[in-house]
Amino acid sequence: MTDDRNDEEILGRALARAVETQDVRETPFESSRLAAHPARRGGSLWQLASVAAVLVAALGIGAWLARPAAPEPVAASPTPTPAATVTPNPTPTVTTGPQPFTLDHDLIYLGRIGLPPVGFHVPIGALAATKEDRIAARVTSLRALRPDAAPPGTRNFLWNNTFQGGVNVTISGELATVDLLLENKPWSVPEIGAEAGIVQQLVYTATEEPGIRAVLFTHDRGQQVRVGEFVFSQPLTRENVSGYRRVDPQLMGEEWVLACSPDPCPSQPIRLTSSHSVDYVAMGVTRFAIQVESGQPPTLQVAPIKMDDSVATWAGKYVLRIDIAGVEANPGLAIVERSPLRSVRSQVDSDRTTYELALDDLRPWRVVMLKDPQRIVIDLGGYPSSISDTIAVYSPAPGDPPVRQFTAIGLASAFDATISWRVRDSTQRVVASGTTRTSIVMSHQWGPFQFPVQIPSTATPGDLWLELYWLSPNDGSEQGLVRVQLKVG
Amino acid sequence: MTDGWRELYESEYPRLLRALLAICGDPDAAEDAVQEAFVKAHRTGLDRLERPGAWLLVVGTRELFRSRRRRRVEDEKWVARGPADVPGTDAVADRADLLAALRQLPERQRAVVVARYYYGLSYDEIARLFSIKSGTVAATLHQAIARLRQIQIGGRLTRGAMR
Repeated sequence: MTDDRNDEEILGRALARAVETQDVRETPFESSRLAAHPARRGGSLWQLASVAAVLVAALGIGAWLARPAAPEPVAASPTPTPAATVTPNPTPTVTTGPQPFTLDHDLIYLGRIGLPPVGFHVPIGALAATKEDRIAARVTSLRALRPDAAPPGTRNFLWNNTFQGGVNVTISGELATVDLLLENKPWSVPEIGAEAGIVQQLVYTATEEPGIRAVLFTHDRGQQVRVGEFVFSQPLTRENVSGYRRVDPQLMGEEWVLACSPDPCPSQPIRLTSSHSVDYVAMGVTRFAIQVESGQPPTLQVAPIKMDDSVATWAGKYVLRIDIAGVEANPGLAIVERSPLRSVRSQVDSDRTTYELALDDLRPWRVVMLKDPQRIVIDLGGYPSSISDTIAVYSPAPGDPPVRQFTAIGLASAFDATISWRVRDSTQRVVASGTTRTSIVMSHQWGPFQFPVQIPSTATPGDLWLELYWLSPNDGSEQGLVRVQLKVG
Repeated sequence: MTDGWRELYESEYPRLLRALLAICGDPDAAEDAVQEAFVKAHRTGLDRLERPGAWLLVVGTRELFRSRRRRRVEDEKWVARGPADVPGTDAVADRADLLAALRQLPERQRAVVVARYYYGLSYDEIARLFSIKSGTVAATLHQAIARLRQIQIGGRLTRGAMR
């Protein structure tokens, strides 16, 4: 693929996202001119066939965009808009009874090369009455969804793959065991990355059922499933297959204590506004930003919470809870339904706000404090291969074509806010190197970096590797190494 | 009204509204054109629409541009809706830049870009639906992308890719 063609596709995807994430106020069918229009006479099987064709086509981008969400008044929008936000409650309280808002669990998961899978709506609920039936229906749907119905950037590696119907599901607590009826041939693994994609699609899809956290796949009455080199030898959770390093929910909570300037902290409530995006900052990155409209919040706590999504129907498998001093201007619940972000709930209690990001899974996050304007940015995920515990590269992305000149962008949490970088050519020779600092010049605080890279003409043509790391003040060793492979073709 | 029309409306309305809003930037004009497109689809009949989603996009786009020509005064309103209206993060600003850039393109380029990248239509499909040559589709997209890239890069450089 040429650079131009690749650039065009990247820009095209960005444009599609921009179009998709516009705020719109949708007119329901009952209020449309179409509903008021006099009925045409007649009708035919062709009409029905055409509608069926539309629905099949809608399994493509259309369904992706117009995925049915929760009942009214939450709008059927894949991204939060003012209309998609539940009516703000000035004094919200934690609801202990049944939750009125339910996420769309009529989902299967489609693969992305190098990234965790993403949810995709298929109509299942009306066809399956029990948990077992629903899991079986989702897994079976994976085989049936044609590749051309998958949204841009996603793949259905399971389409027409070796397993047939006859999916048999048993449930024990949070574990589902799914027995597949396989044709007598190996799984089709058509390309590099497909093996992981198949495993991810299977595990994420089977565990979409509320209350199910792990799945064991077997075939033909209990035999081990093998996909390429991968063997389903034990129950797997989403976190086992997402590709990210393990995040221990017991250890990963963090607390920020921020000094007020000028001291003391303002006595008036601090006003906050929030926004979020998925796959916009960079592919695979979910960003939640809290803008501090006035003053500086003295404390901020971020902690992951394991959720029972069969009880908390607005939540995913995990919630990332952010507790901050200040009052959110527009509290409430917004259904998002863009993997991995399912919904965002904000509640105000006295002069504090709790934000809860409902997630498909637990994946690494980074907290960045930015100024002018004062805002707190929390980024989750990204390409697993581009992320270490202290460095996250957002651009270039793995697999991007090597070019002579590009800009590296990302976040880092390094000693003295200084990171080193180098580029290796296809012979693994270092052809360019340098150092840069994050814009937040404090040790071990996440801060953004951006620097230009120029590849000399002496570099051997072929793949390139961009490597970033920082040096330990103790022994000079390289820490947080990230290698991003830029690939030809 | 049959369930088929409701299903068509519910499956196609959201993306058509977003597509037309992206093209014109005026929610009222976009909504008006979307509603008219569905009424025209109803008059035509589902059995005569080979690909209803794409058909609605073409008819909606034409309706939008026709309406726009009728009301030239609206131009200013469209132009005025730019990045400054959109609060929030750099990503949001990027997105707004891109939409604003899209609206700076000539009418046909806008429609073809949205058909290609938002609806995912092939060159041949776009050519057939918009009654233009396939080569013209390629040339139109090439020019549009070059222009969008210029504007987008300009916006990012001005703002700084990540402050």
